[in-house]
Amino acid sequence: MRPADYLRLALSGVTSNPFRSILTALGVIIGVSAVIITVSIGTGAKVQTQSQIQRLGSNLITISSGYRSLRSVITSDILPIIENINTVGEVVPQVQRQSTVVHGAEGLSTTVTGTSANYPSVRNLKLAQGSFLTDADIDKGSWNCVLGADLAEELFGDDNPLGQKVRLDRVRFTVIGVAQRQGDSGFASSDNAMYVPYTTMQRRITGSKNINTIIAQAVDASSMDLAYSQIYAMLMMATGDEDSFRISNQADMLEVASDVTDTMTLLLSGIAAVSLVVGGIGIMNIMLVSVTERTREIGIRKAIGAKEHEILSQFMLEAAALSLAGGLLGIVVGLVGSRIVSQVFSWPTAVDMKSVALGFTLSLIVGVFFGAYPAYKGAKLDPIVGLRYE
Amino acid sequence: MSLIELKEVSKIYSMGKGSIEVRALKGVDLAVDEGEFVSIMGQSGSGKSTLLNIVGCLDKPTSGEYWLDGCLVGSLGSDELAEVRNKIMGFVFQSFNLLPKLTAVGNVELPLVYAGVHPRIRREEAIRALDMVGLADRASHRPNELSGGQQQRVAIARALVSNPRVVLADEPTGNLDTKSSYEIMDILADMNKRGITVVIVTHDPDIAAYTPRVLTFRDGECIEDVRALEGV
Repeated sequence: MRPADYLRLALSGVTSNPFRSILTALGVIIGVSAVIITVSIGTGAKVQTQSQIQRLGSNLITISSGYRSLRSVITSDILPIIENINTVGEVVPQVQRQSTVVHGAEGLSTTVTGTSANYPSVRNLKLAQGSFLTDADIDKGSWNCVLGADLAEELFGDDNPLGQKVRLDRVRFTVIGVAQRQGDSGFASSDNAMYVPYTTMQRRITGSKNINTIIAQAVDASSMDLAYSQIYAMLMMATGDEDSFRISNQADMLEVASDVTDTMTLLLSGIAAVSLVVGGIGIMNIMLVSVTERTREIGIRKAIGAKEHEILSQFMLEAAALSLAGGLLGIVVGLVGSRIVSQVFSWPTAVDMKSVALGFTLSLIVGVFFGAYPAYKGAKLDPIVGLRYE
Repeated sequence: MSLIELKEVSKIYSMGKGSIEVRALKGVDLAVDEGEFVSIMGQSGSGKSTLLNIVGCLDKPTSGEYWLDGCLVGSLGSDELAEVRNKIMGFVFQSFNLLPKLTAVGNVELPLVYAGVHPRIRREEAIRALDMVGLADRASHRPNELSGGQQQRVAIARALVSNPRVVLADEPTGNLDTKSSYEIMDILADMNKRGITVVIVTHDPDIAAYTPRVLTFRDGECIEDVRALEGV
């Protein structure tokens, strides 16, 4: 038999009963489109999380005190040592405390961060009004502060906050700048925040030289690993205790976030794949019916010289054509569906070409796998039994 | 050596689990030479259809040997048997056995599809075969648009299209009126004149009278083998 004849035969099998073919392919259509939609939602979430993490600043290494040390070794004394490492560019200390800021009758709980003048450049903070703390503020431990967008709005409403006084504990600060709105970063709102010189923070509020976290920025992305190990070696030398400090880099955070979304995507597309299997069983069911219905046809074909493998191929190709057609339709439905999901639910979606290829391949495998048994049954039919079948 | 030679051929069907055995053929010896026109007579259950199925390589004997053109059929695999049915045999059935979804010419060219013949050539061959049975003008009709006699002529064209050496007809006139029956028998006799060996199974003595050799079967055995004298 010629290849073109195989194809013609398979197609005529599918098109001779169009309504039944569509119903049969529906299982595969739903399965494939579900795989594509879930993967596109997963990929979209991953891309969004990554961009959120990147927005916090790039090439960052975070150093903080260890879980098990009673006395923190991360202090102002560490700062110059880290600054001296050649693969490290900027170093930003963060002395943080949850505290209440008061203006007039308004009192709000906020995260107060004592930091240095280079904070905005390292952490991608932009100012809406005024200016950030300067090196002079840090050196002399001034009473200037910068407010996050939400905090400024809550305290001052429509009034201009610049030059106004706010009170933190018993200390009065002058507002010299307001940050631009940053939006939710997924970890903590950086808009309900107040920035003061870390020197002032240490002397007047925490009363110690401790620093919660030191952010070190590597000079470029390729020196991240080197900077990481140099900082580690340096801290080991300074403290002699591995448990007294923690270092983490952004790549690790990205990896963790990716792992979480990957797992979710895998789980959801696994569920979607189950529906593909159900679709395959539907194909098998219909193919078994089809083989039985055409028992006489098989008998006639065998009597005039059809070989077993030719009958086998006829039904296998018919099943494959059904499920491939379902797969292709499913891809279209999946692409349209993920577009709808991102517009109606405003979830970010990103269609991954790999998931399209996966859906296509899966539908082909399903067709061949579930078409095999009915086709084998047809191929093995005794021609005399077929010819006598009414 | 004859074209078709059966030696001590038996066929036993076991019905269900009760080990009830039906002996459809009981050690039949038969030889048919190339170019013969033979009819096999007998009542239903006499084993004549079973014999035809075995000769047509659709069924295998339980015991005994079947030699086709010097080749032991029992030694062939299923693909080789399919090849024999495709190239050497042509079948005509009582119930026509045309595929209802295909046109007349589509049905006739089917054996050539399985022989791997190019679509254009097989279409020409199929039209030629339809022309031989006088149905070239009905080529694009479907079986349900044709009368019984016309359907049987399409089936004969299908049997002829691959230039077989043997045509086997199982009650070819069983579903037809007398006039159509004689038309069919004329076509079969004509094919025989062209050198094709024709074996028909029938229970109708009028039909059997067309053939110079008549075998009569009863209870799985050949009880009579009559050859008409040449030119009678």
